[in-house]
Amino acid sequence: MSPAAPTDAFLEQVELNRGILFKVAHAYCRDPHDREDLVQDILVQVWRSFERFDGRCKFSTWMYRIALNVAISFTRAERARAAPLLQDEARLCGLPDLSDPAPLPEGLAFLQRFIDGLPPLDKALLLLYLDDRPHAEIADVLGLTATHVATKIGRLKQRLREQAAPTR
Amino acid sequence: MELDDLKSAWQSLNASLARQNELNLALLQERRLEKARHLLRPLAWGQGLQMAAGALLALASATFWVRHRAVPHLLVTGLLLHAYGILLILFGARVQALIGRLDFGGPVLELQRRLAELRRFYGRGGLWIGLPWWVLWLPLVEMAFVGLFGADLYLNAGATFLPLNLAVGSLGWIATLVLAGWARRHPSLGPKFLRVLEGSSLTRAQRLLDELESFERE
Repeated sequence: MSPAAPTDAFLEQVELNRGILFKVAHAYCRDPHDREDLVQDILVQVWRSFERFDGRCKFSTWMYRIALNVAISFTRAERARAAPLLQDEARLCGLPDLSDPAPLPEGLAFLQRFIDGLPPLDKALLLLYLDDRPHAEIADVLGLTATHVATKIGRLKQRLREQAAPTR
Repeated sequence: MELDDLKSAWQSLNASLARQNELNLALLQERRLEKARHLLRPLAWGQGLQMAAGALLALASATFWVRHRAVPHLLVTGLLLHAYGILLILFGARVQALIGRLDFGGPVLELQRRLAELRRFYGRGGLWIGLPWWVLWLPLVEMAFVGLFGADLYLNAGATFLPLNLAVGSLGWIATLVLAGWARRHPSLGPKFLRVLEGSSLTRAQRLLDELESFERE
């Protein structure tokens, strides 16, 4: 595929699955500018890899892989700093201010903090689980076995329970 | 608090986020091509330049040692630089090959491991490329003097010039390797030194490999 001529198929698939972009960027970046950079980096990588997509898995599964791979590398490159999302900036960007738990229901704010505190790979696993992806698909995205995924999700649930307990 | 109880609320939040960002996609699409070219350029240039430098050095030194093959110390000078030029080309080619193996559409753990291996190779390769300069400047200066001015520096600089500089360079090379080994064995004291010596890429690569191993083991 020529870099100058992205296909309609590419644009159509990205449009259909754009939610993945924002979910992943939102989970890995608190700062709105970093988040915008991350969304762009993911899009660039999806576009560059598009000719390798062979249809052996669903496009959403493949896009999840790219989005998570780029997000993890982005975070590791320390481009994404853990700067809190300011309320004014959030309003300007039209985004909900998730750094401030007040606008969120208590449970969701707690979950957001829990996700923020996870290492990048655990974060990827939890993100896929919360998106209601089957264990087999999560295993496919991450490169684990479905059994291993189930075990790790069980441990994450346990950790969440343990962290929630003292706050009650 | 149960994770499954929060699932639907989390999905609603994300659906709302995607709706609010709908318009941004058009802007991103416009900027995509420019960004893609921007991202590719430094990587392609860096590797290309290094391989070109290696080819140039190999060519110049080959010409040099062929012309002076009857003079043993000039033959050795040319051969050393020729070998280093080939090392530069091989290093660049290997990095290109490792980059070519990266598939961001592949499973996350596999891609992250390959990225870490690339960083580790790049960091260690940097040592192989950089440390020889403790002594390699000697043949380079000799080749430049003979090639540009027709003067043999080794013969004209005095009897101690070559052995003294070789000894100092070799000691520096060995001391750097010993210090690197010490820094690796003392994680509490060594990281800053290693970062200076190997660049942060190797440190980050090792940390990533450790994380991957721990994630798979848990």
